[in-house]
Amino acid sequence: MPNLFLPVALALSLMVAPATAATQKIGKPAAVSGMTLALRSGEKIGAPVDVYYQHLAPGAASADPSLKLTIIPRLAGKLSVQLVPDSSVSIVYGGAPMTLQKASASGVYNRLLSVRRNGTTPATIRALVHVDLGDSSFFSVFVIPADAASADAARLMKSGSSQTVKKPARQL
Amino acid sequence: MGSVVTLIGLASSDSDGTIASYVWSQTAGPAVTLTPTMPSGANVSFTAPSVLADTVLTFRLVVTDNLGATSAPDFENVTVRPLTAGQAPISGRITFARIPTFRTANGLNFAGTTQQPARGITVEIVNAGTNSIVSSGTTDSDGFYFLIATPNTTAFVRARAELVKSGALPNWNIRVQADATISSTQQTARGTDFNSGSGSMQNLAIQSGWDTVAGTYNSPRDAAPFAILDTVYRAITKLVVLNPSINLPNLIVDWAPENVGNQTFFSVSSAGPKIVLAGEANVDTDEYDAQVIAHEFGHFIEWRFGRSDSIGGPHTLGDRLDPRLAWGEGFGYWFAGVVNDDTLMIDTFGPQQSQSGGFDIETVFRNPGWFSESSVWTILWDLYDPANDDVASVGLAPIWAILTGPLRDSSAMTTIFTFITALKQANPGLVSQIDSVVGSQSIVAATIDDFGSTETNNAGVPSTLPVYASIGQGGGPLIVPSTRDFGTGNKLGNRHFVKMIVASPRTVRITANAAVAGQDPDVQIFKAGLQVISLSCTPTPTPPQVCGESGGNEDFNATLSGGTYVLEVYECNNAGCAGDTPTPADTTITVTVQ
Repeated sequence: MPNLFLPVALALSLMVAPATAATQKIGKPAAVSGMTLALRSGEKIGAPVDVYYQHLAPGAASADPSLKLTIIPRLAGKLSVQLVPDSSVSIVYGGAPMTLQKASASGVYNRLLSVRRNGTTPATIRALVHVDLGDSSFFSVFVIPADAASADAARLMKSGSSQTVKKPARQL
Repeated sequence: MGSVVTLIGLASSDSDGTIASYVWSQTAGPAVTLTPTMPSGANVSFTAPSVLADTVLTFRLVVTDNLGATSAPDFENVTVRPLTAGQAPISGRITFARIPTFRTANGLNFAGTTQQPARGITVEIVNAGTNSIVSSGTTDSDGFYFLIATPNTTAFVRARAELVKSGALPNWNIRVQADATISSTQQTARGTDFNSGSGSMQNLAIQSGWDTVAGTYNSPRDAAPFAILDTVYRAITKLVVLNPSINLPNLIVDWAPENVGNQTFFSVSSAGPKIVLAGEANVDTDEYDAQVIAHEFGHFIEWRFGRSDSIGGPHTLGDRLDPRLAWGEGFGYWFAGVVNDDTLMIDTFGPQQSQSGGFDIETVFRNPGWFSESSVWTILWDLYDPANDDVASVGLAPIWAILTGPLRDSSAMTTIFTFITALKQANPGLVSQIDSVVGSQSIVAATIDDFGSTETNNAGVPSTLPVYASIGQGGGPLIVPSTRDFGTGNKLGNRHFVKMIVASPRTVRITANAAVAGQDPDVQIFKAGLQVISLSCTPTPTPPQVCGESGGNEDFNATLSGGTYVLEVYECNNAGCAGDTPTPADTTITVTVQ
């Protein structure tokens, strides 16, 4: 089994147990109330996590908007999170600009990121999430609108397509 | 003369075991050297000798099985013809850079890169001045080729990323090309110009494009399509053993560096079947992930030779899935293990391709049951496992026989239930072994049937059982649950199956009504896995008269032939439909058949 672990780069802000009980409904935990479930990209077997995000208005006129990111594991394991660099978006965490983020956690992952758009077109952030379960490991790519305007654009596209795309396409 | 000839013994078979060894020998004609020499492999090659007239060489093959029994000899004649004036023989070897995956560390092992033979691919001699193809052929199982060029001409060797075999069966036609939205060009690799003279040897070593010093791809990733095809070639050699007359439909493998990371899948459209593989450097590349490629190729094989009722969609370890998806994905990982003779599934990703996901299909499973893809891969591998480190050892051929036989015709959906039921029926002497393996994954085995009618594992949610409800003419109202206990889209409980037997051809009226106003119940009707009618009214189905949706509820007349049908019933938001306004919620749907 590959040793899939990356160094821990950032501290945790919250630790909880994963949702593994057989009868526990997979819904929104209270901790992510008001947040939106991020889309999982791709159809390969993926990381057993749920990714939530929320766009927050800037605290001051000169500040950038913030993105709250929460990742909740479904199975007990260690998380590793990386943001895929994209020229249309600059992300700041802890006052420093980052093109690549790495962070690890053994429970819920929480981050508050500052997001600066480098352009006017809707942009997305891709989060590469990796989970090590000890005997196995998995990764997924999650797609998150870079800001509220991008999220609105995504919602409009989804709504506009609803009349012609009702059944999900089959991709295996 | 000068041509490399390959004798193929791989299609040999043994009715009660496996082939343990092959012995090739020459019995007539000018002596040639067979490679590899003893012990012979299934396939051997030799270089045709220089001759002045057509000359026949005869070769003899004897195989020995795993019990030591020896076959009667089989003979093969090869005719060698002399070169004529004006021909320049060009021969050589095509290889590609294979970057292995680390097994005990992470990512791709760039330092371990080796040149591997590009087997069975198309190779061309191209006139460098006119860019016209002078001659073309196929590399052998060691990557060698032999072609005829025009003497004293500037030319180059071009390798096409395709496996094509036509004429006598077995046949296949598999091409790697960039998606049409990018360039729609087939992937190729070009050698340097040379003068053909009176003949020459021209090797082509196709490179990965990786710069070890810079730690990045800084030149074209030419080897990638050939690495992909090498895994496909390996799969085909396994399939030819199972079916020496196999005839694969055309398949496009869509790979390019522009292909978005993690976007790897198999799909079928009006244009035909297609595998898409991720190519995005520093995010997710799949060209060297042999298990990922074999998994997707397994979906193609299942689609062509078996039957797939899978609804697709995202899935993770531990998910309680729609059982059709669980079966299809579990099958795909088992198939990958068979193709690569390896139970460790590795999928590399990340910056500099330095990370890996991975799991062993022999040991890793979570939340076992009929809804678990990990239960499916565990069961299939244990049944197949030639190492026999568990109670069962059914072997590959009996499993293939079920996949390509009874599973295709089952009235029920393709799930672990249909497969195991048919396997037990076809192998009564192995029932106790099969039951032991299946039971270890929390699936009722002793009384199993196609419809899982005696299953007791409800994943902790009583409404997931029975696996199939039943309804007949005049039946109902039948209350069918559609829940989101395990997520939405393709998870257990989102959709529910209803078995419906139509005794003779007739028109039936089917209604499906939501428990809560504003919800959107839908019904699909299947017969032996084929969708007969979609009773979803958005968009308007064809023919339009079958659509009777009113306020989200369904009311249809459907003309059906006699037989067993499966109704798939769901609330559309729970099943992942886009755009519907209600949010997913546990609900029930009332179904009637008149």
